[in-house]
Amino acid sequence: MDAGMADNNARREAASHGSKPDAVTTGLQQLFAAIADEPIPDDFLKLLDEIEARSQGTKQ
Amino acid sequence: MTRVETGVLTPQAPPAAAPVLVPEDFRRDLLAAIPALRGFARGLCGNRDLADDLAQDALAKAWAARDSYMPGTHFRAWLFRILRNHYFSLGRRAHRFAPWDEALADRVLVTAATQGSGIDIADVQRGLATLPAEQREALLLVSASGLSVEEAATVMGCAIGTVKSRVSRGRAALNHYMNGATEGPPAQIRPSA
Repeated sequence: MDAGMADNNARREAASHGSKPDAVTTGLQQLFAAIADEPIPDDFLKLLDEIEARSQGTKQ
Repeated sequence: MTRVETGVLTPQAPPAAAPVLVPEDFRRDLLAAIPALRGFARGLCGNRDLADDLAQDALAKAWAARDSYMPGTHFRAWLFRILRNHYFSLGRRAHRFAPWDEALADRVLVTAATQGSGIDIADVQRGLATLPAEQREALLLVSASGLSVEEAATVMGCAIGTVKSRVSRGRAALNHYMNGATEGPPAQIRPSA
């Protein structure tokens, strides 16, 4: 999710409440979007591989 | 089998089978949810490294508990619930949580300072850190990640009205902070529930 999408989400949420997106909502969504735009650290991918391999080893 | 008026036995439709969870699909869904999980964790604890540890623990727990996930239900909400339960359980055991690291937060967030909207994202994160954990959690789930109030109530294990109230109070406090409150964030970000 990039910042533009976060802005769109904020506008959509505000529209559903019949109001303009407030700075808090926009800021929170941009914070989330900024983190989501970061590349996923290798640790996470390794972890998924490890637990998958471990669970397959357990089944066999 | 069902007997019908013609006297002929016709096969009855089998009961709807529970959707089957395919491990490859589960892994794919976990992978897709990692950015949101990291965002929720970082918003909760305010520390990048600790948040990534929390998110990784949540992934491992989700994998171990994958048989309890009902396919077709909200996957992200299920993961958020695992992560927040882990976060609060750690907080209860440790009686404290990571200190707010302002220098680190500024360094981590500097590249995403305003995203063109005039809002300082680092300021948002600092403001979040000043909120009670339950308000911070409600804001992150509803306003940041886009869960419905009903879904957030399931994640948080509380009533819908409670979520609404926490969102409302958290939003007011964060708005106050972002509009020039002079207080700094607390020394520690502590889960309070």
